[in-house]
Amino acid sequence: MAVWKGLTTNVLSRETAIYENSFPVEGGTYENAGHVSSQIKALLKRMKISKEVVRRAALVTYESEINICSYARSGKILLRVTPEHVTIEAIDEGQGIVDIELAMQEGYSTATDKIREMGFGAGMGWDFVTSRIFPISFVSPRRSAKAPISRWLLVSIKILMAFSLI
Amino acid sequence: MTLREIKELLDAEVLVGHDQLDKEIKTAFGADLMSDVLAFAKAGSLLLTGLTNPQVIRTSDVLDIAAIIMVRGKRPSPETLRLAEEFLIPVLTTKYILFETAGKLYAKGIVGCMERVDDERAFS
Repeated sequence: MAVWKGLTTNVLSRETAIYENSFPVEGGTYENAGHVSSQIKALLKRMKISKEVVRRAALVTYESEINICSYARSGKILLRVTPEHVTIEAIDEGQGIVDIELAMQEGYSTATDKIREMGFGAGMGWDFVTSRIFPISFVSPRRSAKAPISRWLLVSIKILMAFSLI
Repeated sequence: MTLREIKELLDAEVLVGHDQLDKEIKTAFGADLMSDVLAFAKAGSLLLTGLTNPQVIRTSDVLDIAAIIMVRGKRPSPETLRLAEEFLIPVLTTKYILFETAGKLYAKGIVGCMERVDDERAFS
């Protein structure tokens, strides 16, 4: 249900959207973490989309949202529903990833104590997204290891995930 | 088992969801790490945890968790309880530790929502 090799952004963009919206996510705080996922879940439920797709879509939105709240300065979640697919795109403006291969490894994490206190940052997110949800695309410009972390860089992580409705 | 029977078994206090105690529970998942809950917990399961922040409720809502048992006598913040009420997710608190809570439930026939994490690597 979650993915297909072969499904591309081109195919998806040719489909006519019956719903499309962008939800801003505030970075660096957990105050509203999960708010967008709840909103998207309620929206999809109202569209009478199958329970299982709603659950999975909410799950990937939540993973992405927590990621933005944990690591980015700001971000947004784009939801697009066509008669064939639900697509979720998470885009953030944050510090980027220095070593993508390392970041994809289960257990590797750069989480702060605050993030771990909330029950996250175990280094499972990217592994989960890439090995179990299979994003259609995952883009993160490589950040130089020498770039100061203290200064936010305008580097974006962009993930696109889709669920089939047929 | 119903949530009411679980409440009696664990000598638990109901904090949210007094009207949902007839809910039937068959499986459970226990963890203090929400990343693990997200990766492994299944819809309709009971969540046993010692974590009490609002993300526990958000995570449970996303996964369609049936109810939350806070172990080791943990009491959530008003903000956490407010969210639980908003999402209609029952929250109970028990003085038993996680191991004892899980053992008591298991002895009564509640099983894990999965046995091993390599049971199903595919996202299903």
